Amino acid sequence: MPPVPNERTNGVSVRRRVILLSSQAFALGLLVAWITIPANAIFLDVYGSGVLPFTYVGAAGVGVTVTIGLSRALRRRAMTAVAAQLLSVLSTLLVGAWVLLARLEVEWVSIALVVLLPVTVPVGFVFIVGQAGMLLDVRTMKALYPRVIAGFALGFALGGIAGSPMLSLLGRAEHLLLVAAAVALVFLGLVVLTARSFPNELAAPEEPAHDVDPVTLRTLLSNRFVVLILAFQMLSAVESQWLDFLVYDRAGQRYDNTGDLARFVGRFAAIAYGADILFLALASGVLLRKFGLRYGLTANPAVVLALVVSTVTATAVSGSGATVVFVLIVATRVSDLVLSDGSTRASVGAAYQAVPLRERLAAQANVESLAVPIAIGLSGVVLVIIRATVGTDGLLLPVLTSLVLVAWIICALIAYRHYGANLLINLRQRAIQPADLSAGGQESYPIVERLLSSSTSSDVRLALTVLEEMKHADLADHLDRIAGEHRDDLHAYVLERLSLVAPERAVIAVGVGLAHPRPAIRAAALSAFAHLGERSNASQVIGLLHDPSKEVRVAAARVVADRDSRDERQAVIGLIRELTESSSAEDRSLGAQMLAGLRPLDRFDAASLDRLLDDDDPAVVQHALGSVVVPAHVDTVIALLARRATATAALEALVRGGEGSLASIDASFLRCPSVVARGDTVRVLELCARACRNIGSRGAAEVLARWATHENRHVGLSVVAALAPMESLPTADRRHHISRSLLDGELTRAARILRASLALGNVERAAPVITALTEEFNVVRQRVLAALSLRYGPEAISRASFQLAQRDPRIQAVAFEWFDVTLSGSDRLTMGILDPDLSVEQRLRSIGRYVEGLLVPPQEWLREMAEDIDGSWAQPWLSACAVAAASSSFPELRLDLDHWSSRTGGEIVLETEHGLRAR
Amino acid sequence: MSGTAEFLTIERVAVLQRVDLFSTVPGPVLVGVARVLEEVRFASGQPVIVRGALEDWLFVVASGSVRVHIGDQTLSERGPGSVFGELAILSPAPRSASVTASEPSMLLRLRRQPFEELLHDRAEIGRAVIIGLARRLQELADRDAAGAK
Repeated sequence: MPPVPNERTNGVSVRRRVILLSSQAFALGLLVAWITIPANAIFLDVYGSGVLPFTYVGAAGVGVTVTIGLSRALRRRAMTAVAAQLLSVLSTLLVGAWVLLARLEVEWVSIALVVLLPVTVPVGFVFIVGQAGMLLDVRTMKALYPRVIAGFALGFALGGIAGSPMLSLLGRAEHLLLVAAAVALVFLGLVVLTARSFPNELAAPEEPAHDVDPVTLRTLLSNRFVVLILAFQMLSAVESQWLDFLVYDRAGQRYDNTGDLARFVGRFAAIAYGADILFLALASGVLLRKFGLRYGLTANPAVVLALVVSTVTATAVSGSGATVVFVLIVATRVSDLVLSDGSTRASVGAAYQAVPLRERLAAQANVESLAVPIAIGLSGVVLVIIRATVGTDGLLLPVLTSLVLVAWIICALIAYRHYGANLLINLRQRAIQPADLSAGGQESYPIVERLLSSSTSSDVRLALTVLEEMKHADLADHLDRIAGEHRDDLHAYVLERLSLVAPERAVIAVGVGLAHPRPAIRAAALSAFAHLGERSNASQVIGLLHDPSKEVRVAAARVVADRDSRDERQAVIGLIRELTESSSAEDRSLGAQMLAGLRPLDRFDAASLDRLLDDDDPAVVQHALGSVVVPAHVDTVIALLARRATATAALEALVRGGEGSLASIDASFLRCPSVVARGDTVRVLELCARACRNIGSRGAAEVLARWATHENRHVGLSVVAALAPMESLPTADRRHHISRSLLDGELTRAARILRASLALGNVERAAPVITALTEEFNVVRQRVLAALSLRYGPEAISRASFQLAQRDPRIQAVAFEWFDVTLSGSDRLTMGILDPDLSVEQRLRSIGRYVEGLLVPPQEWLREMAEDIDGSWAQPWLSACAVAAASSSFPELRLDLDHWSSRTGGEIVLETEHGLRAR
Repeated sequence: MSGTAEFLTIERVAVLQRVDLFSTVPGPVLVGVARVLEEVRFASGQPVIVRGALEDWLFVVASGSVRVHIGDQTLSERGPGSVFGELAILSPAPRSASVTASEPSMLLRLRRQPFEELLHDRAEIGRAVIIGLARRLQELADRDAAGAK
């Protein structure tokens, strides 16, 4: 079970946030209870339950109206300001209702109140859930939101219990409305207090930029996940409303005066919300944390479905008027209410966190206060039809409720499946859509002309691209004109385009360019020469092999090498040989560049290449690597990976070699001399792994798969990181197998590191060894992420782990939630490694199954790490730290360290031991 | 000022790990840095850095304490684990303040050249320095943003 987040937004602050939200919910509960009791009692007494369905339809109309106003207000003003205004209006309305009912005996006001009730609860929760979304991160919400809901339940239950004595005290049910009006003002006060306590979090939304479309209902409905939440909440509302109707319908038949009905309503509320509070206090948070969102979304419909089926059976056996049926209906409604508060509300609140931030408030407002009232209205229409036809006494309504429950369960399961994917999308925060470049026809031509006359080469290129897209008749003229301007930064590009559009004009331009005084123009003309082939005069090119400009000579060599004339190629080879044998590094570098321009190598001088690859000057080697064709030089190339200056060129050469490089790469992994090898050896192998990834073939993936569990942990990490994005790795099973094997190893190692850290936690002067253990743990964490990338995709893991590393605990929580809903089976244990906020004890508990052996005293841990007889710690630095800690904290401990003299990296251990002994 | 080696490599690493600039460099990599550090001892009242001087090294306080000041005005007191002059090895500029030992102090000095060699050889050190500087920039940006509010 994942541990409770350690009130990560910082303890006191989180407690204060939860207390304020719970108090608001408590006030809402009292408010609703003290409207419900007088409204239902008067309404049922005067009009009977037959009119109830019409009030549901009325509630839909009121809900739609309120939502439209609410959505508009929320777009412009802070949510708390909107809430305060709405609560003022509600308080005034309640006072008005009291005047009409108690003083003027206007009984139809009870209809208005009953209509208002189904809207008050969701609108109240729009504000509470909305504030919770801004004040709590998603994990804290899952853990602590039940406490907020408990506030509502407690308020409603206390309101129900207090209802009877208050009725006796006040004399008339109507007077409760005055008390409710006062509670609305208390609610308002709490909202204002919350807003003042957390002004930054609850600030008004920033004005959207002008180019950002406002969030409309259509925008929301284009988000499949929002549609699923909407359907989920509508089905939930329909089901609850029908169950509620069944309770009041049957109660109306059993109790025939206002007093009895009011007492039943009070007792029912007390029982329902008493059970609700118990569940919220004792089980809700624990169950949500243990079973997660899938349980949270499905528990309510599943349990209620079982009870409704029981009711249907009991009705069929005993008749609809039987007490057992009434008890079952009440029990079903109580269960519905308990699970709705204890699992559904918190889960839906958490689910909203997977909706993009920009759409979240609008989604909440529309789903809770528009869709829910509409659903209630629809449920009312169905009830009216049933009453007018077969009646509500029979089996039809419970059977219809069962069908709605089945649909609700299906909807919940689909929503859960989309939750993880949407969290991942939400981790990106903002999707940047690439803008299309479209040539808008002739009307864009003046803009193109302005771009063509720009002094910035990128503007001119853009204009030429647009003209090409338009297939504009003037394109060749423009290219010709710009070629005539001989601009260093554009000439090569313009000649290349011109050789495609108008080759005969390009031949003339190239001819002029080859004789141009500026080297850049001559080089550009040579590049264009290749596009024109035999159409152009080659004699000019041969002459340029001896051009004073290096850039021109290299370009000329490239052109000549591509020609079929053996004599011309021999001239180039002679020149290259001459340059490579020069004592000047600049000449050798030029020779290497010319060589790199020639293909295939075997037509030229392999001996020159060997000499260049062995050159002392890294620049020469870099250029020479551009000519390498593996496997002829593959071992030399791999050796050159160790030199920083040549590593990139060597890597490119290996990748160019493709399959031909793989055997030598494989052998390099095999040769890695030691599990503790670092530095150059590790770096070479890391680059070998990257070469395999860039080669990308199935063979390359097989090489990496073979070394994924390489005994050198740093090499293994690079191998797995390279392997993860390769789609050529054969099967998901294979990925799973490698990933599982790595994770088992890492979790075992993590357990050992954590046990040692825990044992050494209280040892004086053990700080360096604990720091070293923490570093080892960080390597474990990196390897765990790499292993998970193999199974769940590197992009998703990379994005989630990036967010996990953020300082904002709310962003961390969303990322962690993604891990929570995505990782399956025993992979979930890795959450104990990834969670940045856990203590050592919490981590150990979460990976308990990997913790082996008895309690080991700290000095034995130090001995084990310092001596590392079996080489399993494989980290000389850690051993050196353990030697130092043992020397200062347990001077009587005798350590056997002689074997370190023959181990790679053992110097630091021996240096530490000798230094300390000398003191 | 004197310079006899007293600290073991492991102890120097422990000091370096407290320095922001190196706080994300793994211990085994810091061994390389620790080995090029020089130990310098200053008597109480002895100047460590003089304002306006052009120097390309940083100091880490291993033991004792130093006073950072401009003239007689004390800007701060620095104790064990604190670092000063660190920007000089990345972007040389005249010293902006003077530093004087407040008591007998042992400082570890890192010169620019061996540091640059390490930067060249060990990518982890360069990465850690970039992270350290990025964090400072982020803090400055956060402070600016808070000030703007």
